[in-house]
Amino acid sequence: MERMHQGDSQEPGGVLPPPCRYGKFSFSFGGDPMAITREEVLHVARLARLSLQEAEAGRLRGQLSAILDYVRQLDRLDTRDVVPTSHAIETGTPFRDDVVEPFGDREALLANAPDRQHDCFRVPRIIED
Amino acid sequence: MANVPVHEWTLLEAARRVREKRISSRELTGAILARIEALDPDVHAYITVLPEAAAAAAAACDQEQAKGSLLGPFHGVPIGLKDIFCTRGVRTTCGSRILRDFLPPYDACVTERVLAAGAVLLGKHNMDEFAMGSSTETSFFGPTRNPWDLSRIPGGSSGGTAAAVAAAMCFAGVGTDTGGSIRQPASLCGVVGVKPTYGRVSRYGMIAFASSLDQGGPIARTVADAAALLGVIAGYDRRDSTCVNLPVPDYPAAVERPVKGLRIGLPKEYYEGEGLSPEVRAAVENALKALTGQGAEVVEVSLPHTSFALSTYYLIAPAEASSNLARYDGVRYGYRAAGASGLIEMMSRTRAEGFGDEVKRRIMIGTYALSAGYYDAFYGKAQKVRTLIRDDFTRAFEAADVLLTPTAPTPAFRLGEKTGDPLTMYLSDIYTIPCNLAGIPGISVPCGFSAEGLPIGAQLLSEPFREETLFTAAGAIERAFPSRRVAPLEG
Repeated sequence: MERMHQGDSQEPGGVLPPPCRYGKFSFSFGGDPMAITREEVLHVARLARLSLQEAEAGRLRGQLSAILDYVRQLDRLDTRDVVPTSHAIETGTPFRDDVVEPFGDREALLANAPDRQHDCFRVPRIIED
Repeated sequence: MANVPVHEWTLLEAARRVREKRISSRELTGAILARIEALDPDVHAYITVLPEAAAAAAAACDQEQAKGSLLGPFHGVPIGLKDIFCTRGVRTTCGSRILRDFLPPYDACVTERVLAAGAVLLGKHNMDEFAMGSSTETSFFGPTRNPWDLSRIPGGSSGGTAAAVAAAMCFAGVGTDTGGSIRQPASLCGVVGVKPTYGRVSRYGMIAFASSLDQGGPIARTVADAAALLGVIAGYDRRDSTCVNLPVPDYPAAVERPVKGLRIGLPKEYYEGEGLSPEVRAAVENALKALTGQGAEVVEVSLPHTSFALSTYYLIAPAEASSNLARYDGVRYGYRAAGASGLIEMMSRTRAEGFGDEVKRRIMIGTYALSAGYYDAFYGKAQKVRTLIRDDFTRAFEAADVLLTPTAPTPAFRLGEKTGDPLTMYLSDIYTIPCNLAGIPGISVPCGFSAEGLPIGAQLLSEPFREETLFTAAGAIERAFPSRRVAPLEG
């Protein structure tokens, strides 16, 4: 498998990552063996609603860096005139009549709730200090 | 036939024998349940076994037949489902702690269709957590072992299904394939696995991983069995807006068709890589000889963007996964972390405790690839390369009717061998991933064994909705390697 090297990103058609708009991010490829910083790992984890342990954040940083470094090989392809594909088999948007179809088993839905009160899903308080 | 033990019958033989009243469904189902009881402690192909429910369903089938009616083509025949298909009132875990106790309030479309065909549900098969893995080692419930060598992995993510079929702990099963998760374990377990065209099988009630790539499909011991099972689960379902409204052909009829004149394309990029084991190469060459020996023609084709497929996949699939898995937040169902003082803390800890390492890794990659400032450079770029990969196949199918490749670069590896290095693990899917990106159908069919006695599979790929061509070519390969394909385990 081809690996991305620092020089490759300078090839015609290469797309360098745009500078990040958030102050907390620092972003560089190639020179730094880690493609992603510890702060970025923690920021992405917050976006993904994943609380990470200290050791886990460090391990993920190394693994994500290796994967991101690998996928940068796509920069070698000139895709300026290529139309993106979101679904390989185009079917168009199917339409149907907007008719209400009640789901018969309300209790089966509620029975899966980790915590419930009457017919409601119960959660910890939403407004935090 | 008379000497073949009950569990080694094919799906179609078992169905015929029940239909002809030469065996009752109770007897047939009992034989397989006994086998599960004897072998599954070693193989661990099942997350959930349903001995009472299966026996009751079998008894109901026998009563129905006594009244003179048959439910469908698989009346009374026991099968299993990957634990990714929702089964009403039967826990469906997706191999994850976060769904450990989830009881779906409805059946998946695939579940409905196999039950409507008269099949008896034996249980739910083990899998990599949320179908993310190539070895079934990421399952919260522990790994499945390869029935051909218990020190080795069965492949994944549908490893439980492939192992259960190979060990004759069911007559067939349905798995799912997002980047090879049906074909790769089928290859490593010596059975047949089909990834249908995207849109051929409804995804309704199939727990989502990467929605533009996921597709359910059959795993069975013979090509005809796989064809028959696909015929049952395929077809339009209005509850999946990507499910295509095309008639379902008579797939089993395609298996016996001659391959004379069929153009077999060999994509040169698939044979150039350093990672392809010589034994796999030799076995696929034998499969090619089987095809040419029956009159098929060989053409060389090129899929020039093949080396970019893995990168494309590992941006698109995690991006879609990070979005799909946002629903697991501990509010309406599934695991919830205890003792959180606020909602966000509850969600973040629920997800941290409920998901395993591989799932978290992919959620992180996907979230990163979709986040502000990186979307165009990663996700947008990958979608464009996806177009190039799909166009490669379109051009190749102008010269060839079907492409022949290895399914996996090596036979089954050992448990723990690749768990430390995610990228090395991802390389197990290098030959199967492009098919999902292009939306085309693929099949893995056994074509030999390694010197150590491990099964090897060949992959066939065709244009969209040409599954019949795959069954025809796979049938020709199967005729050259006519083993019954039950792994030699002691019951």
